[in-house]
Amino acid sequence: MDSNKIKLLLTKYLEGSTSLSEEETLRLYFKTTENIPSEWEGYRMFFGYFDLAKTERYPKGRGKQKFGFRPWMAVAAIIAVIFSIQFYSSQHPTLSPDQKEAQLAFMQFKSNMMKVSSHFNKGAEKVAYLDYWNSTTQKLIK
Amino acid sequence: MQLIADQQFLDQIQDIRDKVFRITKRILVSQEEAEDATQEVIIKLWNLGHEKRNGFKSIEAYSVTMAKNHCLDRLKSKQAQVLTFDEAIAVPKTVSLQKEIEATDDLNWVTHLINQLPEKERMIIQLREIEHYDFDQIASILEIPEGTVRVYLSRTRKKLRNQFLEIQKHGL
Repeated sequence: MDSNKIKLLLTKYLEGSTSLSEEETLRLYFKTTENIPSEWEGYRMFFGYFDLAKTERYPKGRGKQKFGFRPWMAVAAIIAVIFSIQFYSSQHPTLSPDQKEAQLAFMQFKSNMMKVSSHFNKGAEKVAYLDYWNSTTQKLIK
Repeated sequence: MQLIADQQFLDQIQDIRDKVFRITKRILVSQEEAEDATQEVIIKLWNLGHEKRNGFKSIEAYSVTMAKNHCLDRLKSKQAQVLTFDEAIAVPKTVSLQKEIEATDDLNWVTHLINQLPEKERMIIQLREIEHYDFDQIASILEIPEGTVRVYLSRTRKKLRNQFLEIQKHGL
């Protein structure tokens, strides 16, 4: 492409009076011509940018996304169910009748022992009072 | 029957959605805001219904006009945020800009020059240089006379060229 013609087109371009096809000529010139006057480097840059900007797309990840059912999801769900059952049963072991009876007996024994210990404590308080009385009487004796 | 119409809409919308996205991003600058704006435009198109959509002379021109109005409303309704947004892009042309330019590649630099233009000029650049619309299409989208489009375009092109030359002179 003759650079004089390009110069003419550029003047028209700056005036806003080039047609779309003339602008296409310019775009092609800057894209394919290696050696151009240095003051035209800016045009090359801008046309290059415009080309690139046109390829920008709306991001794929956005918008309506269909949730596709996959076979591996079924397998994963089954495995998850099995593991959760196993985990649950390991946390809450089921008791046999004998064990239940033993547990009940233990609970009764425990509550009895609690009662005994509370009475025992009452007794201990009295003993402590007795001790106090003792010491005061001894002071008097002296 | 409805399903076929839906599928048609989705096929028809692909290109338009990309275009609307590029234009909204040019006006709003922010990627996320442009994505949201694009979705809203698509939803509005969808809500028009099959009959009405096919009644348009050009659904693309209609969509782009809608996108533009949507973005301008958005900018207007968020005056405070627009202010910070203007501050963010109006980097003073000092030594720091020079450094910034050298640090980033050419394309970032062109993006920077275009994004600091007023929104009307940004839109004109987008519609003409990137989307390659005719003058009468741009005039109808922006709802201004064709002569005004040419004036704006000429002014913007000259502005960009001068900014480039100025920076080139300072040694890029």
